[in-house]
Amino acid sequence: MDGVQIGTRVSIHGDWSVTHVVGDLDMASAPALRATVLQQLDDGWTHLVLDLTGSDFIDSSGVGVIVGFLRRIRSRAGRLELVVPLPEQRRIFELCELDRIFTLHADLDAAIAAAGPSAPVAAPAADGNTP
Amino acid sequence: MSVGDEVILRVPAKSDYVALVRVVLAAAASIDPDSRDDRIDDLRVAVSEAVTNAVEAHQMNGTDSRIEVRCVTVEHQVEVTVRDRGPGFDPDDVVEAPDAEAPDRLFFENGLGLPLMRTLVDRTDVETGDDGTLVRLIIDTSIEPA
Repeated sequence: MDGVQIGTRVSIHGDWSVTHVVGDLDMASAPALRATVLQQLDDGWTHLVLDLTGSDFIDSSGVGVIVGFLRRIRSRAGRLELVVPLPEQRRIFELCELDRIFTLHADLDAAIAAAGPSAPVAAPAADGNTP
Repeated sequence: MSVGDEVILRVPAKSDYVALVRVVLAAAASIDPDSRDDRIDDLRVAVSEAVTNAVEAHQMNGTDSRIEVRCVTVEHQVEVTVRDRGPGFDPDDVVEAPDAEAPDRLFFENGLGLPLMRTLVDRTDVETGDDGTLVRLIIDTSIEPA
């Protein structure tokens, strides 16, 4: 076996950068997701949504990497919203008591609606992939 | 899976094999027609945690030996053992996660695996020493989660 069982796609919704996760989120795939999200931060985005609609599995390796995202984003005065539609995914966040620090949105529309407009963010990067 | 059926996997200690193990074991446990989907989901995560810890243990040791995973079902009870040849650990040294709203909680990215296993299955036993660690997970897949 080779490679990771995950895909990511980034879309822009107003001032929010949304990372869509496709595939299992575990120790094999967490590094790829970390790289994608850190790239968003390097590009100047501070308000991010992580959309797990395309993923039907998450374990503590996935939860751990998301906790790390929140730490980095908060250090930049940003925000992180989560889309976690499946009960079995939500259960893992709840068992880790992370539903106390994350709002687990049922779909992307709910996350964007709850997020509202973001604060002004960093200046655009050279590739133009910025708010 | 009929009573006493056994599945044994010996996999390389590589992260890419964690998914393979949990898929095979979840499928094996699902053969019981009385198994509940939510309990199979719990087993899937618990197995993933145990195998993840085993892979990390082998990476720490630099050993290229295989991780052995064994699954036996007796009636509705599934018993999974995960045996690694890592350095072992002191269960008393396992650090508990800070309160979810504590500032240092955001620095706690690892260490949730064992507590999750203990929550998700009915019984979790850990035998650990210098020659490795054996994790035993026992779950009745026919009853509602606690």
